[in-house]
Amino acid sequence: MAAALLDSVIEELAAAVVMIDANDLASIDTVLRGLERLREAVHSSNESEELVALADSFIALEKRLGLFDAAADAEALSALSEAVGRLQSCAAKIAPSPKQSAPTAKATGPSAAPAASGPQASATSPQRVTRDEETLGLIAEFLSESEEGLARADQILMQVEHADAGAEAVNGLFRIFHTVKGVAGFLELTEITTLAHTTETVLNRCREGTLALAGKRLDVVFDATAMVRRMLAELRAAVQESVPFATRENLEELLQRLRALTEDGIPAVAAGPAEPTPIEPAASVSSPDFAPLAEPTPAAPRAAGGASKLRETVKVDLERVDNLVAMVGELVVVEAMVGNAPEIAKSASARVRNCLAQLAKVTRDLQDVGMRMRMVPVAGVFQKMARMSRDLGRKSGKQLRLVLSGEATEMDRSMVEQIADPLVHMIRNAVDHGIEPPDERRKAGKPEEGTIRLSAYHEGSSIVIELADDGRGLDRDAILAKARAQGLLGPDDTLSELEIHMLIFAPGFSTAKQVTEVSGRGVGMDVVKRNVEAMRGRVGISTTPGQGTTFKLVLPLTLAIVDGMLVACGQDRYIIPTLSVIESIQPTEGMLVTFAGQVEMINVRGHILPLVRLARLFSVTGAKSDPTQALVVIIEGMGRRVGLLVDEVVTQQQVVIKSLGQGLGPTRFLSGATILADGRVGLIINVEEIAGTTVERRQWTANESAAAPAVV
Amino acid sequence: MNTISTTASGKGSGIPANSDLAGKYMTFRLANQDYGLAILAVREIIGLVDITRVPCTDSFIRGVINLRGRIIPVIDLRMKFGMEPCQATEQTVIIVVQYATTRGEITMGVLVDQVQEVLSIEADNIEPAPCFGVGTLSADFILGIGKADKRVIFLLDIGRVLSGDEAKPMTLGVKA
Repeated sequence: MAAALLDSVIEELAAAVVMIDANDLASIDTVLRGLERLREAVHSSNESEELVALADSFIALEKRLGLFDAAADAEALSALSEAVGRLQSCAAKIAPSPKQSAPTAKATGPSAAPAASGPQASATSPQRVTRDEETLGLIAEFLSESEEGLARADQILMQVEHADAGAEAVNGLFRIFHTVKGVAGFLELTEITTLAHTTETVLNRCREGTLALAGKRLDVVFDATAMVRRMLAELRAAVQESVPFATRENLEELLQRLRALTEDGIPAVAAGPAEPTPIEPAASVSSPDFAPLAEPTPAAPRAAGGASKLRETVKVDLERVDNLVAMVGELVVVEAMVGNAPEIAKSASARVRNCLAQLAKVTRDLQDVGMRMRMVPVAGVFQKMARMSRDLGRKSGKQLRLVLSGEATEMDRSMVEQIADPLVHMIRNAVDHGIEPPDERRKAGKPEEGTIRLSAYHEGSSIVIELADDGRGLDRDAILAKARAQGLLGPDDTLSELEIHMLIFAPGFSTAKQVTEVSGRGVGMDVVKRNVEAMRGRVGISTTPGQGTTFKLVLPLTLAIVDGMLVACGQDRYIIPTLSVIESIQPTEGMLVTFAGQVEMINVRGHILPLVRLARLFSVTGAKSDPTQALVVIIEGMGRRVGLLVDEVVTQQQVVIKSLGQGLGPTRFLSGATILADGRVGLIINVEEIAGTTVERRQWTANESAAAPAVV
Repeated sequence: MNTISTTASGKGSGIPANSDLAGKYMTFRLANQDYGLAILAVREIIGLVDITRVPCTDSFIRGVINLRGRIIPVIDLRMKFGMEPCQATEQTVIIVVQYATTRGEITMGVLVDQVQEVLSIEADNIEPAPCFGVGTLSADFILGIGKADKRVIFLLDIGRVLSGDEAKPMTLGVKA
C-alpha cells in the first residue's frame, strides 16, 4: 500500500515537473507541494534508503525553486526534471509493476494537486478536454505566444546554420520548446507536449555539450519547429471550426528521428550519462492513438451554432497604449469644450444637437475602451499571495488556507503592481497577528486551520480588495496601550472605534510582543495606507473580537481618471477627489468654534473637526471670508477628518489626471492637475497632505515647549 | 531669503569656449534689455494664455498652462531675475523651451516682454561672461555676451536658469 501511494506521489510529481513553467507561480507551487508530499510518503514508507536519500536530495532544489522569481532559472528546472527521472526509475525498481499506480492515483484523487492530470491521464480520458470560455482564452494565448516563440526559434536556427551554435542560441531554443511544452501540457494537448518534450530533450543534450547542434540534428529541429507550427495551425482551425484535432501520421516518424538523435549522439562526448531521458514514460509515447483533442463539448454554452471564436491577443508596446489613452483623454476634454461652447449652445439646431450627442457617446465609449486596454486581472498578484501565505504559514507554525475569489476582476495595470506591496504586508499582518496558533484556535472552538479570504470585486465605480481572516480580531486595549506608550496618544485622549483601528497604520506601530521573521517591526501597515492613498484609495477595517478582521481597500478603477468635486475659491478652481469627500455642509454660526481667536474648528453633529480655510492655505484673494456664506467640505485623509472652507461647489465631474510637470519644484497640497471643460488647468487637491498638516499643527500647539513640531 | 553667490565661480572651467557658442539665438526683451536663447532649446512661441496659479510655489512661477493637453509650468523671467513682475501687454509671449536635465527632459514656458528675432551670432562677436562683482546676480547662467548691431545680448543657459539649484529667485540683498 505504501509503495502504491509512493508511486502515485511520484507520478503526480513527474507530471507537475513536466508542466512547470518559470513564469507561472502556480505550477511551481504544485511541484513544491508534490515534493513535500513525496518526502512525507518516503519517510513514512521507509521503503528503501536509496529513495530516502534521493527524496532528501530535493531539499536543496526545493530551496532554489522557492526563491524562484519570474526570471527563468532553466538550470534548476532541468536539474529537477533529471532528479525526478532518477526517482522514477528508482521507484520502478522497488515496485515491480508501476502500472499498478493508476488505480491508486484515482483513489487518492481528491487530495491530488490540480496538476495531477498529466499527459498520461489525458491520453486515456479525452472527454476531460473541455472547451469552456476560459480554456479558449488560454488556447488563444498559447497559440499567439507559441507562434511568436516559433518565429524566434526559426530565426535562431537560421543563425545557427550559418555560424556555430552558441550557448545563448541553444538556450534560447530550449526555452522556447520548454514553454510550448509547459503550456501544451497544461492544456492537455498531448501531441504537442510530446513533440516539444522530445525536441527539448535533444536541445538539452546540446546545451550540456554532449551533442552539437549542427548538420542532421539541425535539420530535425527545423522539422520539429515546422511540425509544431503545423499542429498549432491545425489546433486553431480545429477549435474555430469545432472539428476534432486530427492526428498526424508522420508525427511518430519525426519523434523517432528526434529520439534517434539523443541515442546515437551520446558517444560524441565520452562523459555523457548514458541514461535516456527519464521522464519520457510520463509522456504517452507508447500510445500513438492520440485522442482527438479538440472534440468540442456538445453542451458548449454558445448560441452561435457551434463554431467557437478564439479570443486572440496582440502584444502592444505599453507606451503606445499609454499614448492612446492620453489622447483619448484629450478628446474627452475637447469634446466637453465643444459641447459647452456658448456659440454651439446658441445655434442649437436639432441636427447639431444630435451630432453632439452622438459625439459624446462615441467619446465616452472610446474612453471606456481605452481604459480597458490597460486593465489586467488581479489573478497574477493573487497567486503570488497564495504562494507567500503558504510560506508564512510554515514559518510561523500556523495552519492556514488562503481562499481566493474574484481573481478575474480587472484593474489598471500600474495599480496591480502597486497593490502587491500592501497585500504582502496585510497578509503578513493577518498571519502574525490575526490567525491564532492551532491549539489556541481549538480552545476557541474554531477549526485548527485558519482561513484568510482574499477577494476582489467591483463596487460602484471603485474596486474593492478585501482581506478577511478568521483570527482573533484587533485587540483594542493592546492598541491603545501601545499607542500611549509610544506617545501617539495622551493618557486621556478618547478615540472613536474607527480612530483606534486607524492607529495600526501609524508608522512604527506594532503590538507584537516580539519582532519575528514575519512581522513586528511596525513598518507594514503604514506602507499599506501610504500606497493605497497614493492610489487615491481608502482603507477600511472592520473587526469582531474572536471572529476576525477584515481589511477593505477601496480603490479607484483607474489611476488615469478621478471622480472629482470642482470647488471654487475666489477666482481659483480646485478639484477634490470625491472618494475623500465625506459630505459638504453650509455651516451656521453655532457650528463654528475658535480657539484663542486663531485655531478654527467646526462642530459637525458633535464631532469637532479642524477647519482649514482653503483661501488662507493657498493665499487666494477675493474668497468669501464669512464661513456661514461659504461651504465646508468635510474631507478625510490619513484617518483624519478636516473641514475645508471653500466658496462653493461648482460641479461634480470625472477628470483625467495629469502630472503637474517637472520644473515647479515641490508642490505642497496638490497631487496633480487636469484640464477643465473650458480648457484651463484645474489643480487637484492632495487631501492627505491637508489633513496631515492639521495633525502636525495640533501636536505643535499641544506641547508648545517642544522646539520643533512633532511629525507623526 | 538671501543667498550670497560667489561671482568668481561663474568663470570656472565649466564655461565653454566662445567658438562653441556661435550659432543661432532666439532673442527677446526683458525691461529694454536683449537676451538670447539657443534656438535648439526653443520649441515654440505662444501668445499669452490663461495661466492657472499654483499655490505654495515660488513667486516667480506664474503657474501652469495647458499646452495642447500637456500641462507645463510657466515662469516669469523678470521675477526670476529679481525685476518687477511682467505686465501683460500685446507683446507679452510665452517662449516654450525644452532642455535636458538629469531627471529627463523638462518643458517649460518662459514669460518675456517681447520676442525679437532669430540672430546668427559669430564666435568673434561673443564675449565671455563678465564678472559681476560681489553683491549681484550669479553669472553662472550666462553663456556669454553677444554683440550685434551695437546691441548687447546676454546669451542664457536656460538649463541653469531654470533647473534645480537655481530654483530660488536670483536676487540678493536688494530685493527680498
